This record gives sequence, structure tokens and C-alpha cells, in this order.
Amino acid sequence: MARVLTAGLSLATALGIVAAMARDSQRRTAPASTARTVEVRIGEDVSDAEARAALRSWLEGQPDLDRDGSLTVVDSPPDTTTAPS
Amino acid sequence: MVVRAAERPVLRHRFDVMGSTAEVTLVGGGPAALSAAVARLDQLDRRWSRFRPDSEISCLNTATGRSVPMSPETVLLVDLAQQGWRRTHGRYDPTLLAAVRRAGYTDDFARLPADATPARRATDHDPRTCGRITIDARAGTIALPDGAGFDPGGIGKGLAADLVSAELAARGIPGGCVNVGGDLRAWGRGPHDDRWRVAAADRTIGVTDAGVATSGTGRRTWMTAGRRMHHLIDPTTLDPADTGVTTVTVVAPAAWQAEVYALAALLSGPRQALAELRRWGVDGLVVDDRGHVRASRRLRRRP
Repeated sequence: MARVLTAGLSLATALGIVAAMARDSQRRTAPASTARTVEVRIGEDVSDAEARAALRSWLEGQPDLDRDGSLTVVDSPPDTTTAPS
Repeated sequence: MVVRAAERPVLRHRFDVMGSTAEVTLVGGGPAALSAAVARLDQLDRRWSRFRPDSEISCLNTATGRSVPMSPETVLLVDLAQQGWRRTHGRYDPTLLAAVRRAGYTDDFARLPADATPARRATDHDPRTCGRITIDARAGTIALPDGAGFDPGGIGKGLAADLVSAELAARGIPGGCVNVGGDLRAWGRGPHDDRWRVAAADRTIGVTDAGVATSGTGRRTWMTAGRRMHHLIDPTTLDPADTGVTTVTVVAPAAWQAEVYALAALLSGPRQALAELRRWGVDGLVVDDRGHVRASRRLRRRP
């Protein structure tokens, strides 16, 4: 319970700070295909081509039905739900 | 928000955004990251809602025929929507806004009247409209063809889930799932093991690093002139789709792709939907109007 309360208070405090940051900041980050993290600004103002490629890779992965092992039907309770939106 | 004992703390927060309920779950992240996700989704909602007169999408739709400065995220949204239109040969079409409005979806769903009045003006849609959107990514401008309307519904939620997931992953959070009204992007480890378990149709599927989305005719329904309507417009009839398919769930590398392919498959009808998913290289579940579920190979139940 103590952990829940602590996290809740931190969330409430951080919400205002992050909201203000989000309004002002144009800098975004995206994962690289390797372990290291690259920094990227979404859109054409990004000078780091590798960083832009990382974001595009995240957003435009190529579907591959034959890539076995990463997708299956499981017999256990769900973590989340997809539904018509 | 829920915090559970585990190897790594699991934080979950549900809130309303983009006309639906969002759920952000982090495995190993902290409350600051969760807060950043909430703020970012709210920011994207303010930019992309067609029901906010000051949103970028509203500005775009009221200034057709002219180049309009847009944020990088909105340029990306329209660019990917155009890609989706091309990949599905126009079955997914984000420029059917006039037909959506004519069907009566003229306001935020929560504010729609019990029985909406149909728009008087008949719609006449040029199927080439989406291809005529001019996107200048370097200048950060978009120009819609004269009289066109862009509807970010569906793909907006999916892309929002993708962008926020990318940003959270870049913070070094080892696992998470951003679910915006059922369009979700999961990465890394799940709360229990290395998979995220997603309830879809009549089964639970395990995914890693994937986008999942469901299109369906049973949600966001309303009455117009005594007729039950929904928001998925068939570009061939310009009316709410009635193809014999009620829902399609798709698993793709990104949530925006899953949303595009799910809608396009639904519009393909029960005989073609799975074949189309196969052609596009994605997996899915197709539910017809009799409740029968058909699954692509990897989503079939084991005997």
C-alpha cells in the first residue's frame, strides 16, 4: 500500500511538470535497433539520419507471416484487450 | 494506477483520451514515464481531434486547396495514412470525412444525439482524393485537395500508441503496452513473461514487439433517421459498411498498420478478408455476422 501511495503522489506531481515540458519540447526519442538509445526529432528537422531511420523502422516494420515464434495463441489470462475503436 | 509486486514493478494507468479509454502499462518504468505518456497522448488528441475547432486537423479541413503548416507528428500521420491507402489500394481511405458526416457522425461520439439528422447534401467522393494530398515534409506543410476532408479516426489512435511506445522505449523502459481504445503497441517483456497477452475475439494471443488493432461495426453506433449507423464507411458505397464481417483483429509490426489492415480486411468481406491479410503479410482474426471466427495460421487454436 505504501508503494501505491508513493507512486500515486509522484504521478500527480510529475503530471504538471511533464505536461509543461510536452508543450514546449519538440525533441522526441525513439529506439534504435541495437541496445543503444538514439535521440530523434520527428519530421524533417532531424539531422541525424540514423535516428530518423530508427523511428521509421519502429513505425514501418515489414510484416512477415513466416516469422514464427513471436505470435501464438496462449492459454492464460490477458494483460490487455483489443476491441473495435 | 496499479502497482503489483513482481520482479520489476508494473504500473498501469487508465484514462480517457481521443474519445476512448487509454491504458498505459509499464514493466520496469516509473511514474514520471507514465505521466509523460499521459501528457503526450493528450497533446496528440488536441492536435488530431476533428471535433476541436482549434486542432491541426480542423485547420487542415477548413483550408483545403492551400498548404497549411503542421507539426511533424501531423505530417507523419497524414503521410502514413496515405501509405495505408496505397497499400490497400484505396480500401482504407482517410478522406471519407464527408460520408462519415453524412452518416451522422458529426460530433464527439459521447455528444451525439440519440437520433441524428442526416446531412442534406449528398456526397460524391473521388476515389483518387487521398493520392492527391500534397505533403511537404521538409517544409512541414500539407495541402488537401479542394473540398476534401481528412478523418484521422482509427489510424490516429494506432499511431499515437506507436509514438508514445517509441518514446517510452527510448527512455530505457524494458517493457510496456500503450493501448488507446483497443489499438495497442506492446514492446519488450510483459507483466508475467516475455510476451504480452492480448484478449481478441474469442481467444488470447501472445505477442512480442507488435501492434494490435481491431475494427468493428458493433462499436460507435448511432441512429440516423431511424436507421442504425456505424463509423466504418465503405468507399464503394459511401455508406456504413455491411459486408458480412463484424470485426477484424490484426497483428502487425505497428499499431497504425494493424488499424489500416483491419479496416481494409473488414471491407473485403468474409470470403476475402483472410486472403487479403495473408497478401499484406499480417495475421488476424475475422468474425462474421454469424459469430464465426476465422483465424490466420498462427492464431489458430491448437487441437
